[in-house]
Amino acid sequence: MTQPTPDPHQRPPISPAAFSILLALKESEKHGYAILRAASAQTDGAVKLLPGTLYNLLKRMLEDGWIEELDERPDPELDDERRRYYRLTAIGERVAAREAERLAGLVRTARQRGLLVDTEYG
Amino acid sequence: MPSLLLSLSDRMFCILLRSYPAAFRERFSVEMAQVYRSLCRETYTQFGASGVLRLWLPVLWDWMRAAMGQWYSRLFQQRTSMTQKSSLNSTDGIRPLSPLQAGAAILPFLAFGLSNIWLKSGFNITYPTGLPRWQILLIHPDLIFNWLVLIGLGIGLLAGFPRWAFSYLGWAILFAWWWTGMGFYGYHMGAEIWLPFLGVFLLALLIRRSWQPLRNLLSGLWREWTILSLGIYILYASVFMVYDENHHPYLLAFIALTTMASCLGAWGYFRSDSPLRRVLALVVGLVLAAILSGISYATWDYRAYYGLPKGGANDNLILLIFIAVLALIMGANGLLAHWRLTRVSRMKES
Repeated sequence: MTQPTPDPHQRPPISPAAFSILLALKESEKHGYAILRAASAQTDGAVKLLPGTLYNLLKRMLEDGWIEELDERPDPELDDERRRYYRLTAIGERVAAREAERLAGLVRTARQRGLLVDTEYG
Repeated sequence: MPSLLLSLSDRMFCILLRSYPAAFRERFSVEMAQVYRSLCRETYTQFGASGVLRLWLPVLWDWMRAAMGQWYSRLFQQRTSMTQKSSLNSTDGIRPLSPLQAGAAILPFLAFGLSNIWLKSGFNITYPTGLPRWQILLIHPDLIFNWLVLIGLGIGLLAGFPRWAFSYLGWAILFAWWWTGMGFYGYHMGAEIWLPFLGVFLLALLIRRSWQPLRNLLSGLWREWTILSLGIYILYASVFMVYDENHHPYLLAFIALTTMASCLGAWGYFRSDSPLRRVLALVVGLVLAAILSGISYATWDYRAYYGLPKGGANDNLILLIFIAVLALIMGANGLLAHWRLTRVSRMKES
């Protein structure tokens, strides 16, 4: 039996693939293929999830209570009834926020050390 | 034609899905097939049939990793990792030795290689007949190596038996066992060779006036299951380093390189913090030593040298099987140590 993770702050950095799933679900509830598309779109194609990795991670996230499955489909009229939708839980949101903070900290350090140059548009 | 390609592709993916553990399959296979179908159709629309064919390589890789991960999780009751830490990195609280300590741990490997080079370098030592035994014990290169190992073991015991001392313990046991059946110049060693070994223990315990070093030794053995692999490694690294009855023109170079390979494996072992990495380092060292040994016998006809009948085409195959078996045993030892580590950490969590 696996227990939901009580404290996301205790976790080591999560993988880019897991983080991109959490980011995709933060936007809205999604089914598997929509998560896969969103993960690719939000990283400019850097994260290319395939079914095996995607469902490995979804299974873990369900076990850890980071995400949950929706009982109803958002729009049953327009959708395949076999599709399952997932949404972020409060724990998942905390995990994602923690990871975002960690990455932001790294970016700040990189900027301070001249590895990143601010670009001005317009 | 497109529909045939797509339906064939779907069917193949469904066949792959059967390789997942039943519980995972029941819960996710319908969704996974659906996701794959959507992905395939989109790829076909964008890139045509060649795009679908190109998609198969990453899909196969993804399937292999995911299915193996799920089976691992199912068999070892351990979940696949979502974090950037792989199972290879799981630490068991045994910290890697500092470069200095790791250097001390690989010293017996280096010393054994050097004593071998000395023995086979052509600087033959001639022992006059009737030389007292104690003099032979002091001047034979192999036995000088034994004294060095025993001194290291003694220092280790006096220091409370830190991790590097296991290397000296392993070499000391191996050497005593090896020389029990050996003899030269009319002297047969027999069980007497164990006396200095036991003497070192006794002396160290008397000086320390405490059982602590012995307790540390035993608790170290219990804490670190991969010591078994280290023992196997010491035994077979020494076998590869000896090059017994080998008269290759570049024999000394082969001994030197094999010694370096053995040191490398041992260095990796003592500098790693996870049981799987530790065992992997040993396997790499052993494979390198075996490759060097294989090259030496492949480039020197020992059968012609010793006037043996031709044959032996399977020599390297036998070596390969032998190394594979050793790697499997060590791998199983590493997995067991890893399993124990995860079990202990889960117990701590609960």
